[in-house]
Amino acid sequence: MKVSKDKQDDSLRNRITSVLSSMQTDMAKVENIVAEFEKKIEAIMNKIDDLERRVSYLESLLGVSRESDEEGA
Amino acid sequence: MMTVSVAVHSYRGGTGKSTTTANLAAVLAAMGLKVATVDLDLTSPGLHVIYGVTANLLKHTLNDYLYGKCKLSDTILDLTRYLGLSRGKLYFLGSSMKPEEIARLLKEGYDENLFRKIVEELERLYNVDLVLFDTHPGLTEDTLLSVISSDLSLLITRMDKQDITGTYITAQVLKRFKKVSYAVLNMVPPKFASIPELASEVSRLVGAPVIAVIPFYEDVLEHRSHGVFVLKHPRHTFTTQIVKLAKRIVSIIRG
Repeated sequence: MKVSKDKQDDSLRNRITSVLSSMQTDMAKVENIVAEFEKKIEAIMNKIDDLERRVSYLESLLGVSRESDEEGA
Repeated sequence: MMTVSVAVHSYRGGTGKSTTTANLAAVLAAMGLKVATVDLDLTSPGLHVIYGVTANLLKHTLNDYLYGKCKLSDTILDLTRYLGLSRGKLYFLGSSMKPEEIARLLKEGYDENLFRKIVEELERLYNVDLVLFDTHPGLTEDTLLSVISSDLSLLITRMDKQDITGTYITAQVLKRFKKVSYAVLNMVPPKFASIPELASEVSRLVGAPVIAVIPFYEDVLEHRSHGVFVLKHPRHTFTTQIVKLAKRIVSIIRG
């Protein structure tokens, strides 16, 4: 069952090694992905903060608070 | 339905692969499917812990099979009744936790046809619908063998720069092999999880469709791998998320 790695010349193992070594990954593109991810997260956080502010404003207008509702529940 | 193999993989460790695999398999079985989970995290196996499979029960491991100590069929455990499942089937193939056996595996390697043989055996003996491979994280040759040998992959990723980068790179590698991969956003901070565009944004960034957004649940963490969470907490929202993921996978497989 056991097969020594060096005996598998035409194997999927060798193909994996060969594909990985020939990938020439563009690290600038990878870094760009990370930067874009950070931007998206920041945008989402801003959106959440904005929604929180709106909810608080509406609560103050209506004279209710989520905290007291949760305690009541 | 032919047996379909799914690799549950991630670029980094600690993403919740084993938890996702164990819970997903239980839900798929509860849906009436015949499912097998295979612990292919050969250097740090842990799926058996979640299933509560002790050394007494796990008489033969994949390591035993690889070194000619048993037949492949001897490594297959039927956990259906053990886990209290009333529908479907859940089989499990475990790996050894013994350092000496892990060291041997790392030193000597193993037959790359192992994964195909596992799927064929499960299909031949039990007519299994789905085989879930719980892989070792990263892009090493051994772990990529299991991912590339599978019909499709689920890339488990957290909302973390390192995970996102790694998932992008992994998806790129899999595309080179013309493999189908999907991303699962796991342990997502709850306030992000409800943002509708999150899945589409991350899909675009990592280059693989996000098919589930699973929030972080303290209850799952507190559960500390004591059994399969979804079976113990069928009404929990984590369970609801896993059910949604299971249905999505079934719809992908059935086209």
